[in-house]
Amino acid sequence: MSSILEVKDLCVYYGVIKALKGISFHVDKGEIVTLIGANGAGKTTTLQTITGLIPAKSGHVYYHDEEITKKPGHLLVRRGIAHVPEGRRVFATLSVYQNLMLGAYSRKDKDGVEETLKMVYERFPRLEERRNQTAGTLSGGEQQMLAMGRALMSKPEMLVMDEPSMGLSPIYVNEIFDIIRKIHEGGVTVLLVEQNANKALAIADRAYVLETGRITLEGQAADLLNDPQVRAAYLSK
Amino acid sequence: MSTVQSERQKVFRNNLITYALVIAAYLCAEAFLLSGHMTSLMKGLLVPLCTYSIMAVSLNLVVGISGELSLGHAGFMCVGAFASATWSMLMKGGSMPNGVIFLIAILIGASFAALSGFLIGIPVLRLKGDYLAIVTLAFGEIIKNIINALYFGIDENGLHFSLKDTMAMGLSPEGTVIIKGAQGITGTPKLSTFTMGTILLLLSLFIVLNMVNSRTGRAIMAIRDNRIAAESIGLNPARYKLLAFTVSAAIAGVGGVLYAHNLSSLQALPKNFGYNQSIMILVFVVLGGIGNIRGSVIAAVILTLLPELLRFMNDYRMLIYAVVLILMMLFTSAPSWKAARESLLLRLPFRRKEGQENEAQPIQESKAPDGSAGSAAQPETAADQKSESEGMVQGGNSSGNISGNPAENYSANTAGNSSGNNSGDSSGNPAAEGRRSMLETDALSISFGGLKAVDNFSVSIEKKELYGLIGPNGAGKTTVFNILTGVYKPDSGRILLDGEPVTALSCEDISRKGIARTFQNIRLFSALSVLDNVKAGLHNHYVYSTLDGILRTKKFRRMEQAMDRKAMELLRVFELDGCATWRASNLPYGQQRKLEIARALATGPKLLLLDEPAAGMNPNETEELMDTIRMLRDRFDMTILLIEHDMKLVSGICDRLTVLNFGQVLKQGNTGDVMHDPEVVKAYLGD
Repeated sequence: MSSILEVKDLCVYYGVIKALKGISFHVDKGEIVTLIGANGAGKTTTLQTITGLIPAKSGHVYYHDEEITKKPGHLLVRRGIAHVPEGRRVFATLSVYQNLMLGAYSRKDKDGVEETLKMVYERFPRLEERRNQTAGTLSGGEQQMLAMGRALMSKPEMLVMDEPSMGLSPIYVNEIFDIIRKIHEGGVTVLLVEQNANKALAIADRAYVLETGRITLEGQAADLLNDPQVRAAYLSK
Repeated sequence: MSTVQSERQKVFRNNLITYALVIAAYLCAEAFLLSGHMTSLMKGLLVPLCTYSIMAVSLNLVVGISGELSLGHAGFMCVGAFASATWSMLMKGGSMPNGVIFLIAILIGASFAALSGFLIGIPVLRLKGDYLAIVTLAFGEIIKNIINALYFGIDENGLHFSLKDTMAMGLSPEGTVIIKGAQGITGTPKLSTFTMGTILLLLSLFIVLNMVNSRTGRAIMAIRDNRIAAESIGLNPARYKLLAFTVSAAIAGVGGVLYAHNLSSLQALPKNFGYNQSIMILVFVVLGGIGNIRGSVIAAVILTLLPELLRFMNDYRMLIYAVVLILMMLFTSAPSWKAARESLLLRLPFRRKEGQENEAQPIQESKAPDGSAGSAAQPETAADQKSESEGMVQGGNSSGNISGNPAENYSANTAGNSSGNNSGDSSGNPAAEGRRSMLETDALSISFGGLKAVDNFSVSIEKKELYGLIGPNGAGKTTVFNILTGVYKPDSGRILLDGEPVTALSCEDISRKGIARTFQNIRLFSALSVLDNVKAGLHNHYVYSTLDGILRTKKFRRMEQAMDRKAMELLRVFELDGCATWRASNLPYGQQRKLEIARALATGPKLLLLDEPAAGMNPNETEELMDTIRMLRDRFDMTILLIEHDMKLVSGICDRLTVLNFGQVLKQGNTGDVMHDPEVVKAYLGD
């Protein structure tokens, strides 16, 4: 099987409220896969369950055919899954450099880390300019770049991104999507949750539509982009 | 409305269970006493059990409900104990019956403790978190030490004090020394009984539980959950924190009265009034569940009894006590154990039903594709309106400038005669009716550490206009909102709201004048229900006193009902009425944004500031939001200033725009013109 990530019948509860009601999907190596859906559909929950931040009630998550359902988040980073959380979540009182180095916390290869840092600075020149500034004083767009840079520092095989364009000005939104494309071209598999469904579907290979905790539609991103149902519910007319 | 009623019944039932538990425990103990099955050791514990339960209830009001960690509560107990014991000593041997002496002793103990709580609270509550805890710890020690050095006596000339020694008081030979420094008071009449203790505990529970479930408690908890949001809807954090602290100190004083009148000699030792004691009380509160009043009582009882029950273990008993304490903490509070407990409870048949109901709750609503504004707006019935104006207190009692009847601001029916709406309030403002601007700012500037965050910001927004504030991240948009709502004081410049200057007023005053806002990162009162979030917004329009709330007076009931009605009405507008009883933090993101708007509207604003309302919404939801915003303007006569990055929303609904860049106005004008301005395209829009 060429799937890098496979999710099977995943159920998650918040107290007594069912957030995910048994969802299954897969991400193949080298793909960009996007999850779209309304607020409260369970997109963020799905990502957080995959990366071990929320416990699953039942169901399975496989990474390279190995079960990771109950693995804690920090171990998954070592396996090559990095999470760019919703709302950035940079370490506000630490410098840009410190934030980035924390992204490489689980890595032992010092030289490799140096190299990755150089790569990240190349990709995000603004982070290099501001490497000594405290992260909390960065603008929203810069914080988003920092969150992405921090995730890249672990040299992930797969990047899980939650709403990278949220709260960003139009100019930054375009830039962020350019960066996602470039990261992908660099050989990283991407699982992307986005409210900006137009842009997400434009760069994705495949997509799944989530509705109130269930997957209701899946297919090639290009097909969904032209699907009248999807257009009506999630895309701007 | 039925959900609201059943929720109120649930609270009522819960309180009854608490009282019933206390009474049942009392009856059990009495039965043992009467049948002679109680050891003398246990008998001696009965009053302390009541004392510690009262202390735990008192501290939970501060730690759980008000959210401030206090480590000095034994100090207030100490004040109550000494003040009341002094009184009882003065009256000893007089003609007053013991019952009356004790009743007055309780009042004296409570008042002295309340006074010291009030005085200490003023400086201490300026601090937050750990700092506050350390300072209360120090104050508790100070109280104990002062009392240790206090000499007090009486003779035919009156009362005598000294902080030095007995001689320095200058008592005549016939005089009696009452407080003898470190030796304290000896010979206090033993007036505390188990029955009296139980009654006092019930009374404390009654006061705290009723206060928590009233307007006052809602305000206190709202401030605990999110101080900034609480200020933005016009709550005064200092006032309510101080109120909670003072009431809590008074109840701790009552605990002290009970303690003092249970022993014949009273000394301010570290053992009984030191920080060990304060921490012990904190342990009761934490173990019983922070904010869980009933739990505090149960924990206090268990932890007071445990060392005695373990007495047969001799040397090991304190060790075992500590181990049991750790295990109990783990069982009640460790997340994994909590989850295990919850799933265990879920298997019980009656719980399962509840769970299924919850699962069916209508999150789906959010994406009903035809969320047109018209369908959301339900016409009010005449009867509703009438009862509304009955229940409403005229805002004018505190400040003459709030529009006389806030209902006008909400009501759809007055949309037609909007010009009449504000004519009454701003005393004879000469500005031309109709074309007056709702918000006018003149050269607002503010800098942080030399960096000009906002520079010369001037804008004029007409009544009922939808106005957009856009610009790159970090351009100073949210800072403008913070200045307008009083979070920051501008270095220079002027703000006029509806012709009235509101520059540099406090958040609370600005909210009362009529500016409400939402936040970029949603700030709800997360532990409160959806309904209570909106009711907190109604706080300054439906006024009844804390005492009304505690005594459950008619006024309380009338006001609460009117609030429920108004709040449900607002929730219906946003299709949130189905989840009125949910914890706000359990709402999905989109609904949380709506709830924030509903809460802001509840304050009856003239101007509504929305900070990135469409963030995190998909295009379809954004379209619904646009309908909602238009509806707010049409139905509520609202003037709206919004920050947004979603250009579809901005170009779709905003009449005019201001573009900020590096704190300065880059462009201002009609939406179409601004959006095509080459400078704006370059700095912000991109191609």
